[in-house]
Amino acid sequence: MRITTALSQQLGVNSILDQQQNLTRTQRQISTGLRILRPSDDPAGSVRILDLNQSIDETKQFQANSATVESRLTLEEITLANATNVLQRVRELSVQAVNGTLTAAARVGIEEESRQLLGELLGLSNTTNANGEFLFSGFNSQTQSFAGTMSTTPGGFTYNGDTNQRNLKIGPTRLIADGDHGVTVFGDPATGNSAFDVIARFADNISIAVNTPTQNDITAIDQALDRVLTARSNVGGRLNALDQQQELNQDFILDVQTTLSDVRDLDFAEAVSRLNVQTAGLQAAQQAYVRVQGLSLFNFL
Amino acid sequence: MGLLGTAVSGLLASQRNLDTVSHNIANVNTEGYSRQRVDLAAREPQITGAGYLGQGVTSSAITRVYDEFLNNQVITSKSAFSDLDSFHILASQVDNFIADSGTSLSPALQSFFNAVQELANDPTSIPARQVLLTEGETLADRFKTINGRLDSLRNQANQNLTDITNEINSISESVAELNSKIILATGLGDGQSPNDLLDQRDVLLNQLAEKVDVITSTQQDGSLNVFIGNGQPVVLGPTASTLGIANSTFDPGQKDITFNGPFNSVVITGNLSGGEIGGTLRFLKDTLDPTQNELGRVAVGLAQDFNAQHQAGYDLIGNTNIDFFAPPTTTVLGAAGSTGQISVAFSNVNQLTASDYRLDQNGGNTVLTRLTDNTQTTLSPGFPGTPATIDGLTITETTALVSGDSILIQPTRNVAGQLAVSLTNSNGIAASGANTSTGAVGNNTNALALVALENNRNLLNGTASFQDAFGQTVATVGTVTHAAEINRTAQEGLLNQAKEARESVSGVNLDEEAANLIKFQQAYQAAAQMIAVSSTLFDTLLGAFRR
Repeated sequence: MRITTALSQQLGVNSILDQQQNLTRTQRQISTGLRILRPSDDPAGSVRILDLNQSIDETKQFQANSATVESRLTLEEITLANATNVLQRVRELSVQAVNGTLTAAARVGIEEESRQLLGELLGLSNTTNANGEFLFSGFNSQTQSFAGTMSTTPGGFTYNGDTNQRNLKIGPTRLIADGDHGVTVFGDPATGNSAFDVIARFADNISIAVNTPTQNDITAIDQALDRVLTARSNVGGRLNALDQQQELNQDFILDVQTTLSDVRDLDFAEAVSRLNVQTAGLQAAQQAYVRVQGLSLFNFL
Repeated sequence: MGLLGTAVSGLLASQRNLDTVSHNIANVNTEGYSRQRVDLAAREPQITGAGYLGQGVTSSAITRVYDEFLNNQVITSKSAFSDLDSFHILASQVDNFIADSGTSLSPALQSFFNAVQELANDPTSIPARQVLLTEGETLADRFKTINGRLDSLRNQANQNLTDITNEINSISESVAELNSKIILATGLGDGQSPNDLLDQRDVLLNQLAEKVDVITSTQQDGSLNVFIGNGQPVVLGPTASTLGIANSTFDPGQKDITFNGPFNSVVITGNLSGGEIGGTLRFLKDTLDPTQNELGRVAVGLAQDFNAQHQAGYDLIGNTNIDFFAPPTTTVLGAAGSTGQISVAFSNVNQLTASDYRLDQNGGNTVLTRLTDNTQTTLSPGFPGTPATIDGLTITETTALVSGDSILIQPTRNVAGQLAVSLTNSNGIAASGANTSTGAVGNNTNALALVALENNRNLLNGTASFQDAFGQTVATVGTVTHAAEINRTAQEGLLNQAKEARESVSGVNLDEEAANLIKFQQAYQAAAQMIAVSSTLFDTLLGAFRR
């Protein structure tokens, strides 16, 4: 083929421009650390990046939800532990009252202490979390759970919550309850058999004016204690499950991040060696251009 | 003639050649210049007793070294290349921002649904509600931003069309002017071609081919007729016609290119292909319209689905049936002269396509054409008495359609730009699945149902979530841009090959010219020497007589 002056010059310039373009692309990849800079670099890959990022964000949200559930269940667990202590003390008092021969002063003392304990348990049953929501009111979370005082007579207590449990999402298909409603934990005042009724009845019985406490009181207190203990072990079970789900989520995030890195991130070793090859190529093109353009018959005229 | 005459003819011929070499060297860098050469021929011999005696040399013509076939190949390749190139330039602008982690839809969508989860965690928390409201606004804003960028690309493309049309007009004008010069020069030159003018006209044709596909035909008088589209003559001999830009019949945002003939102007947009015009039109139709429609479809899906679930719930004070997003609306544009009017509502987001539609009333029937694939549906005989439902849209006649009416429906085109949160008070967010007036403010079941929408495949006939649908758009843009890049590079190779082929025939090689220079300089010196010899001979003769 006949080569003309303008063409040979253009060919030289074109090859320099091509090399520069490739070099710039590699340079951008290295400076961003990304293999895919725009969807057109790898259309399928860039959609995967969107999906993987979504999975990571969503799972991180599940982790945040789990943390919320964990703090609520921990608060419930502490509250239930206190409630257990209160009921155990009441049970001790009831055993004393049934077995021993007590002086009038001692009976007054036990009555007095029982009513204090009743007040403490009522306080615990109306615990609120950091948001000011009542722990044991079900969905009626801004309504005080139980109404009554330490001197309320048996049957005079009321439950103002509902019997729902709030579920939080801690995995793609995993919901977990962030608490228990008052009826499961303390019994239903409507039946006159709630923990509060039981303690108030016991306090009434121990007071000199009324009956002597009986084994029935102990049984009733045991039942109340059982409910709280069952709720506690439930909460413990849920905290365990939560731990497992959190680990699962954490593993999943790590897995996805690894995949994301495979899809999105640059193989630096490959890119740097490519950069070297391209730099050498550009230098060669530049040198060739200068050499070839220096050749002219006019130099010899 | 004799010796002197022969020597002078050689001198003159060499001079012509040297002039031409000089002209070639001078134009080594002139775009589109074809090297010229002098055709030499021996003069007619003179009869003598001994036979025919040579009478020297004459230059019969100065011609350009030119191959019409190669030249046409460059023109065709150039047209195809600048078509792909301008398409690629526009498409890669979409490609640049559609999946950018900072400006893309995906992160905003995810943040929004994360805020819904926070609401489900704490349905009574005012901060959580406030955050959801803000995230909703951020998401709506993101839709608007992306849509705004697509809008500005549309403006840019429309501006391109106007600019290119003006350039075509000015080039056609210049071609027509050159035509008249060439007709004149060809006449004066007694059949000899005005090489440099022809080269100049070829350069203009190359420029024209960059703008749009052209067909040319050369006339007897040396002039060239240029046609575009399906035969619209932009140049006929010494006269040029102009192209114009007009708003499309339906959509003022869409531009049409018109051919302003001597009697009327006709819309030729549909007939134009190739060149920058072809690339720009293709970008508008194949990339920008679908991208904007698909983005709008995600916005419709989000607003409709979220609102439907939100309406089912109760806010903090027991209100229900509340919208979160302002309900999206379709765009309906009547053609100029249409009197009938329709309203179009979304009936099922799952069935929505990303197409635009045209409704035509032709006498008895009302026909709906889906513009992406030209599927035609005759609306049921019940229409307009009962509204028609098709592709997730419900069409209702509001003013009687008459024969000849034509209406363009762009169901999702402008939705992304209009998306807004209509709820202003965060207490109005319906997190509860049951009436809260009884106190159940801690109920989060509706919030959980709203969370579930994120991964529901409730678009594209149950195949895609919001995120998936957007992902598909990203994939399409990426694939189209990638293909355009490959095609562009391939076509650039073809164009370069065509240019090289033409250059190798017509281009100037300075070494070659240097060699010619030596050759003709020597010939010139030899001819001059012959004049000296003839002078010496004459002197010899005179000297003989003087003795």
